[in-house]
Amino acid sequence: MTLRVLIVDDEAFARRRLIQLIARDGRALVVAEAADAADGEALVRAVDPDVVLLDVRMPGRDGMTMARGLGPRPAVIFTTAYAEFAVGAFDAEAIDYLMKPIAADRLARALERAEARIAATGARFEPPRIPVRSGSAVSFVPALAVARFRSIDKYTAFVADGVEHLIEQPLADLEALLAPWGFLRIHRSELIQLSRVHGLHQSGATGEVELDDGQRVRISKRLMPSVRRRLNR
Amino acid sequence: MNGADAARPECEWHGLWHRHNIGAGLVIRVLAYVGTPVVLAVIFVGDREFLPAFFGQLPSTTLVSVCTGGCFELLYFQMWARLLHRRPGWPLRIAGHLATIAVAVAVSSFIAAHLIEWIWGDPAGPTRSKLHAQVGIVSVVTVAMLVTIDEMAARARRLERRADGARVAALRAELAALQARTDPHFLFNCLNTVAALIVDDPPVAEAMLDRLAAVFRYALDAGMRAHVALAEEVAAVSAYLEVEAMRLGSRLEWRIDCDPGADAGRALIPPLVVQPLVENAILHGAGQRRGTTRLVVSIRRRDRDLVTVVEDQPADPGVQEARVPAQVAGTGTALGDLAARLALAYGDRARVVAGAAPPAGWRVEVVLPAELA
Repeated sequence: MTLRVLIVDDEAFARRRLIQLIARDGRALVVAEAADAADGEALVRAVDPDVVLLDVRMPGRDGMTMARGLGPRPAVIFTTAYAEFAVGAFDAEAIDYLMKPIAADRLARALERAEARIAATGARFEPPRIPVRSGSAVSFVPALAVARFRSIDKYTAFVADGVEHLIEQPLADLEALLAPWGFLRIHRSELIQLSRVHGLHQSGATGEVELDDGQRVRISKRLMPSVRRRLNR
Repeated sequence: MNGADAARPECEWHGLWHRHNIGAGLVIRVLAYVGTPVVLAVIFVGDREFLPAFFGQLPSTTLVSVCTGGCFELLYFQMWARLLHRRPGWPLRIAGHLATIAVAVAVSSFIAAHLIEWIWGDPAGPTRSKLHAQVGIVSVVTVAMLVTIDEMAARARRLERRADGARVAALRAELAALQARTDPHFLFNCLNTVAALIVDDPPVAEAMLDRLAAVFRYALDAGMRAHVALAEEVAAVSAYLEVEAMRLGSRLEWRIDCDPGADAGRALIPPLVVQPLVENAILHGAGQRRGTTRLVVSIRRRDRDLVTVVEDQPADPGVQEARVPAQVAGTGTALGDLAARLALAYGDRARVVAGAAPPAGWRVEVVLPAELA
């Protein structure tokens, strides 16, 4: 089971720290980040994460208020430098309460707890795999190994582990399947994995994202605001 | 204007005469009221003619004693003691005591004479009247003395208690000051940031640790001193703001204007006067806005005062973002503790004024008497 995690924290470095620790731990995947409660709530609806790592003190509404409005799903883990919110966290039925600076083993234990609670509901979450036909055989490529899906005419092209694949599945289908796993449509013909974005280059109303392998992918004018929002830029 | 005094009920005011000491009060009353005639008898033991007459009159003299003493107590505790709460000077105090005694003797002699006539049936003869008068006066004086001694003891206890209260208040202020100088949340948040930076950008992590060390070295070291040079405080505040700027990124722009022409740098101030203002501006200002906050610290000489102003404003005032106002009054808040600390050091020569600053910010002004090194 791979937990899909949303991080809500107003400090970029605090989000960064959680991303580093989760990447090292390996059992979870950060699918989205938000810098305040309003964006956080929108992302809960949009990507339906399993777990929210939620800061308490933030501009606008605080994390405690946001958590109380969430209901039983997703599981909430608070991350804060303040010990005094722990009682409120209990009240909001949080799964855990992590103190900053976040310790790797405490975060791992919190994620284990979240995993156990989700497993108890009988749900199983496995990252999707993309069926690829070659001749009469069908192989499955893990979607999370792909940084970018690109539509070319009626096909969709992508690279996984250095091998280029061409499939017939339309980009819109892939978007529906992969949006909860941290993929974002940035152009009519481009779907990228947000955690693979290394930088954002803007020029006027349009721009490009730079992926961690150095390739640059154009962003459509229409989707630019939502891309910037998701990248918290 | 003594809050602690007004809040505390004066339950020991009456000391032995208070209902909490009813047993001891009773013993002392019996000793005073019955003892007075007996003591008188012992004093006049040489007077052979007087003594038998006296013991024969013990019931009536005791009645007189109880009457005068009781009358005095009643007058004293029901009227005079209440006036004593207004803390009159010693001459007035003595006059009040004497007046109470005089009134008590006058009233009680009237009551006692009537009681004796009513109980024993015959009007008092001249010898007995003289005896009753002596007993009455001695009794009321004895009771007055006891009451005065008791009052003095109670006063001493009260003063002691007030001194204890002042000591406790001083210790509490000291503790509050200690807590004000190291906000643990700031440290924890920074350590979290440093942890992220160690992986992503080691040189910046290193720079941040340097500044962080400077901030806490100053906070711990300056706390040991009564005064620091303003320049030291300004250096620590700069280090603090550099750290916060690294942590908050584009959300914070800051500037310190320290008036160079007026020896402001050489001025002596209590440690951590500017620091809590800046901390507050970060906590309630920059920390509560998504957009950029501009923070300006200005330190100027104004006549014989040193005026520090800390103001935060959103860089884009069009985006009206709620800012949690810093609480000014009361202790337990950074500004309240600062005001208390400055009041201890300078009395009413120092003041802290905070309020909303148009268009969408917050401004705190601290005025101190300028002391030069």
